[in-house]
Amino acid sequence: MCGMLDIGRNICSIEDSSINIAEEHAGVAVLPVDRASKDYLWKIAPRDDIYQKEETGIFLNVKKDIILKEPLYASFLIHKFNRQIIHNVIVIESGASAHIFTGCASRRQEGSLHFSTTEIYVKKGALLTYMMSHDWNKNSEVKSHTFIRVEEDATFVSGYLSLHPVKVVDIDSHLQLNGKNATSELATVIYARENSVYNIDTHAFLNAPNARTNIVSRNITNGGIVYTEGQIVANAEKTKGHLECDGLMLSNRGKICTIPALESNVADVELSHEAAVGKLSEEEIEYLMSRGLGYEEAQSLIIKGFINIDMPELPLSVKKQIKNIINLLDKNGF
Amino acid sequence: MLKIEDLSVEIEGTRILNHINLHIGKNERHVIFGPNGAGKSSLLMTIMGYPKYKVVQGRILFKDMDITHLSLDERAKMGIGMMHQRPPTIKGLTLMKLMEVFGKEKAAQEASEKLKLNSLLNRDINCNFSGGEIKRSELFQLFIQNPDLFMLDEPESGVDLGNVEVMGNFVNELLEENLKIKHRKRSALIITHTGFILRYVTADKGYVMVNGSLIGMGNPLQILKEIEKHGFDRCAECLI
Repeated sequence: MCGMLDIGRNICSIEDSSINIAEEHAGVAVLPVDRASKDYLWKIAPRDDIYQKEETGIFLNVKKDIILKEPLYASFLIHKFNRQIIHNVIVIESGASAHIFTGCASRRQEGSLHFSTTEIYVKKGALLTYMMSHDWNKNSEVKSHTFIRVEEDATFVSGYLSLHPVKVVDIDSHLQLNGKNATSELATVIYARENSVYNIDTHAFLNAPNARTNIVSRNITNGGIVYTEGQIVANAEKTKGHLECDGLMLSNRGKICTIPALESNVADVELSHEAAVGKLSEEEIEYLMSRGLGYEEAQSLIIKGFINIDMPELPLSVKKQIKNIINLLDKNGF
Repeated sequence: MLKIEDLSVEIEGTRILNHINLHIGKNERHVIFGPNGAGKSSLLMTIMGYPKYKVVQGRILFKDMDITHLSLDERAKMGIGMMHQRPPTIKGLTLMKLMEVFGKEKAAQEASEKLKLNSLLNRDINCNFSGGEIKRSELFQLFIQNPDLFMLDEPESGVDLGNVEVMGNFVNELLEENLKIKHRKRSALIITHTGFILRYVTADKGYVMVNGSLIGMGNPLQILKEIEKHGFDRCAECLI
C-alpha cells in the first residue's frame, strides 16, 4: 500500500531507514531531519522520546503564506528491517495552508517495530490538515508520539485511520493550543481485529483565550482491544473543548475501554464530553431492510456511517482516499 | 393485493393482535382508526415483517403469495413499503447516500424539491429531524422505493400547519389520485388519528381497531363522523 497511494504530491518515501526525497515543490522544503533548524528540533518533544540513537525522518517546511490545495504525501515502509525509528519535524509557517497525508505500512510478515516521534508547528494564521493511515500486519508493533503546537488564529486538523490487523499500536498525542483563537479538530477511527491492541491517548491543552478543540474517536472491535484516553485541560478563559467517544462491539469478543478527562484551571470555560459503547442497533438494521436492503448490506452501511467522520477542512482528494480505504474494508468483510 | 387471514400476533408472549382479517384489492385504499395502543402500528409492523412481531396464528398473503415468514427485505422487494412513525436515527448515513445505494440519485433530487427536502438530503437520516421533517423524509423514501402497497402510519402527526398541505398533496400524488381509478395500480393501508389525510386521499374502506381487534368496517368518512361525535368506544358499538 505504501508509496502506491495515488494521492496528491509525493514528497518523500522512507523505506526501512533509507530516505528518498522527491523533487522540490515551490514553497515547500523537505530535508532529512538531521538538517532541521535547531529552532524546532526536539523543542516540543522530549529528546529521550526516541530510545534508540539511530533515526531517520524528514524536516518539512511549508513557507510563509504558501497555500497548497493538493495534499503532500509521505510514506513510511518497513521492508527488510525489523525496526524503523522515525523522527519528523513539520513546520507550517504563518499564513500558510497545507494538507499532509502519511501512509505507513509493513511488507514484512515477521515481527517489526515502528517508532515515530513527530513535532508539528502550526504558526500564526496557518492551517494544517494531517491525515495518518496505518496498514501494518499482525506482527507489527507501533509507537507513534506526536507533539503539536498551534499558534494564534491557526488551525490544526488531524485524522487517524487504522482498519487493518496489527499487534500493538500506542498513539500518544500532545496538543498545545498556545495562541488566541487556535483551533483543533482530532479524529481517530479504529477497527480492531482479533489479537490487536490499541492504546490511544490524546491530551489537549487550551493555553490561550478562545482556543478550541474537538476530539472524536470512533472505535469498532471485532475481537481486538481498544483503550482510548482523552484529556482536555483548560488553562485560559473563553476556551472550549469537547470529547466524543463512541464504541461499537460487533460481538462478545474484544474490549472497548474509554476514559474521558476534563480539567479546568479557570472559570470561564466550556468543556464537555460524551461517550457511548454498545452493539449494532437491530432497529437501524431492520429499518434499512424495510427499504429493501439485505441484512449484511444494511449492517455494512451502518458501520461505514459510524466510521465516517466528517471533517470539512480536508481536501476532496483526501476524503476520497479515506472513502476508498473504508470501502476496501467493506469489500473484505467486516 | 394483500390478504390477511385470521392473524394473531404476540410480542414477547403478550398477545397484541387478535384474529385480524383484511383484504385490500388492487388500487384500494383502506383506513384504520383507533385509540392509542389499540395495535394499529403493530399491524403495519407485522405486515412489513419486523421480527419482534411473532405471528402465532393465521397468515399474510401478498400478491397471492404467503409472506408470513418472509424477511423484511424480501417483503420490501416484493412491493410493500412503509412510512414509519418513529424511525431510528442512523449516524453517518445521509439520505442522499442511501439514495446512491439504490442508484436513485437523480430521482431523489427531483423528489426532494417537491417535498421541500433539499436541506435534509445531506444530513444523517433522522438525526435531529423535526416531526414534520421525519414525515417528509419517510414519504420521500417511499416515493423512491415505489412500492405497490403503501402503508402509512399516521402521516399527519407532528406536521406543522404550514407543511400539512405539502405533505397531503404528496401523499395524494403517491397514491395516484390524479389518475382514473381503473389506471391506478397502487394500494394503501393508512392509519390515521385525525382523519386529516382523507381530505387529500379518497379511501374505500374504513375500520376501527380496539384492543388488537378490527371491530368494524364501513365508509371511512362516516366512521370518522361517528368517532368525532361519540369517541372510539361508542363508535365501535355502532359499527357492530
